[in-house]
Amino acid sequence: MATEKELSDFLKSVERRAFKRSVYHVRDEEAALDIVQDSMMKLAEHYGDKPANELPMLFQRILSNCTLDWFRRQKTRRALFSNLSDFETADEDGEFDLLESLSPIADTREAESAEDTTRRAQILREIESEIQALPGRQREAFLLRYWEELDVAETAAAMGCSEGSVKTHCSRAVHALSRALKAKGIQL
Amino acid sequence: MSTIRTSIPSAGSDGLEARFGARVAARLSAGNDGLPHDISERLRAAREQALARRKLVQVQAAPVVASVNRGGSLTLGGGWWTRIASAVPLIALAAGLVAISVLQDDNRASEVAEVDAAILTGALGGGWWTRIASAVPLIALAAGLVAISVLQDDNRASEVAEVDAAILTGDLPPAAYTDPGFAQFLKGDDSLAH
Repeated sequence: MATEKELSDFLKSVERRAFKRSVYHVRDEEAALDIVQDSMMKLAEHYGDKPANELPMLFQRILSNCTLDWFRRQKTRRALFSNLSDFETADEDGEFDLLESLSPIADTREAESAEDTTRRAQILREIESEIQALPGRQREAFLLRYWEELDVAETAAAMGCSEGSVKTHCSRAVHALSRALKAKGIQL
Repeated sequence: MSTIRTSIPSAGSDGLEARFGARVAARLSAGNDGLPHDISERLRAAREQALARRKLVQVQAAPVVASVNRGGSLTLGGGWWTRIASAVPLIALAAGLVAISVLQDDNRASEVAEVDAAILTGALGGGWWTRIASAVPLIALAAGLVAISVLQDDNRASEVAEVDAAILTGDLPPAAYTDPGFAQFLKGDDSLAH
């Protein structure tokens, strides 16, 4: 069973990423804060007695469910028709070289000036806006896989889909992001 | 999980995707530190609230819990535990009465049998078991009465607490009840009503 300190440390380590992930999904900071708070409460209330190593997966699942619940409530509130297929866009996987969007990693290790800081903040905003523009499932898979650093099986469990779907979503997300960032002249 | 992945596969399209994903994630993580102060504070408050909620669940077995609802009203009560606990002395009492009745019947039968046996053998004797068994319903009765007394005390305390809560959360300030003019007004109001 996780101690109170372990639970507190865990929540502290994930709260910022959870908030940003929710913002990317719902595009509303207030709603994102509510979602993160709900998720934390549910984790503490229902799974506070679980071992510390089970908390990350449980939290990711709860956060995903809370985000879905938020979308459902919005759908009811606005009385608009939408379904999961709305989150999927027609894919345009043409010929595209991912290598072109990757600059040598040494570039990122240079000393940073004020100009660099501004440039970095601008790049971050561009990346965030492109992540928000991704279809919901692709965004979810990409963030869980690469930002939360879950493996394919864990991501599949958190998203409630097959491992093959996770790989497909991730691959499409990477290509879409890479293409969009390259079009804006951004190299990572 | 907060550290940036370093073991990136270097070959194949999977490796390229992983490298790209890791670099995007690194950018996002770097931007994470620049969250506005109010957001960080609200996240901290949410975290503390969640931890407090966990504590509340752990101590929920306590019989009487005072909780403040979102609307601001104060409610008292231990839920199902209190109800079940309040039924225990009654059950003990009923069991005691049934046991008394059964034992009295048994005693009467055994007394008749003993008298018959004494007449036949020329000796009299009840044995310890009968005496101990006859004390059991009395003990059960006493335990039931003590439990009823304890629970009534609890109920009285919770009733007083409810009255206090009603006074404190009501529109009328508590000081009004100590005002002689207001007491006079209430008396006058009562006499008018009668």
